Amino acid sequence: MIAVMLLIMTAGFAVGYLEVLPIVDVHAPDLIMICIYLMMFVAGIDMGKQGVIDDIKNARGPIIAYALATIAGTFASVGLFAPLLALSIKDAFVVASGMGWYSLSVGLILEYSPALSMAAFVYCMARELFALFLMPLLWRRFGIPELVSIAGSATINPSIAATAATGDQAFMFYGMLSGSIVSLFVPLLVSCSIAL
Amino acid sequence: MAIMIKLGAVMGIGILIGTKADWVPCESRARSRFQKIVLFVLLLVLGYQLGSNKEILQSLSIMGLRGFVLAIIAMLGSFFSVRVVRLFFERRGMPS
Repeated sequence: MIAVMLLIMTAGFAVGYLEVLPIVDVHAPDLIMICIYLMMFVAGIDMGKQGVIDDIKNARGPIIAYALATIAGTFASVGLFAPLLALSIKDAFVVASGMGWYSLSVGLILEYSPALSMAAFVYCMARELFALFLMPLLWRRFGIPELVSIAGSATINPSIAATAATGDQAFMFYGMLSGSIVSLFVPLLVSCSIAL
Repeated sequence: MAIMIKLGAVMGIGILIGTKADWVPCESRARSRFQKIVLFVLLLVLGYQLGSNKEILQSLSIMGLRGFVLAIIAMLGSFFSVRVVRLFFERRGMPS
């Protein structure tokens, strides 16, 4: 799936570079927002169907604390290291605020800064890919909550892969809940980071 | 801020429908396909926008690298902060 997505994005990039479809340029901002709203709507339906709200209500305090610590850890660390990358703290926050949810963050950031939008895409992809490989690899050495936090909001695919690889169902439990809680915050995080 | 409210509202309506509407199936192949098609259209248009932007072409490698490094930093930050919280719960004897 990730390979297909990269391929499609690259195809779009190539078409844009060659400027063979100028009509896309005119309608692109509206099209991007329509796609984002549709994806948010369907993601909401999925969350509702999976009973995520009830799960969060019934969740023990630690799981909510882990999700909040995932967000806090991301922002604290990128804020700290932003100057080393010649980035302002605000720009580092903007890139990191997607927490791995590329379809939402890249589209929203594009209007603010196309260059940061590109960085956000790489950031989100790298986060999911690293999580995919690191979660099963580090399974015996570290606790599952901290391994799940690597993925940020993109916990579903890595958790499924880690469960399949290790047989430990706790990956799915923590992955679904922590990822859902972080995802609920992503629209707020992206908008607030841009508005800083 | 307006976008955040709109996105929150759209997501909230989706969650409400998902929670309350019994006629919406839990798992639907059509919904999954629709989601994929929308995602592919989004990626195609995003790719187009990025490819047609000269500013991005000039900073492609440096911004890609920054995104990659930020991902590593963010993952480490999340990892260690969750580890601190988990150890805190364990030391207090709370279920983690």
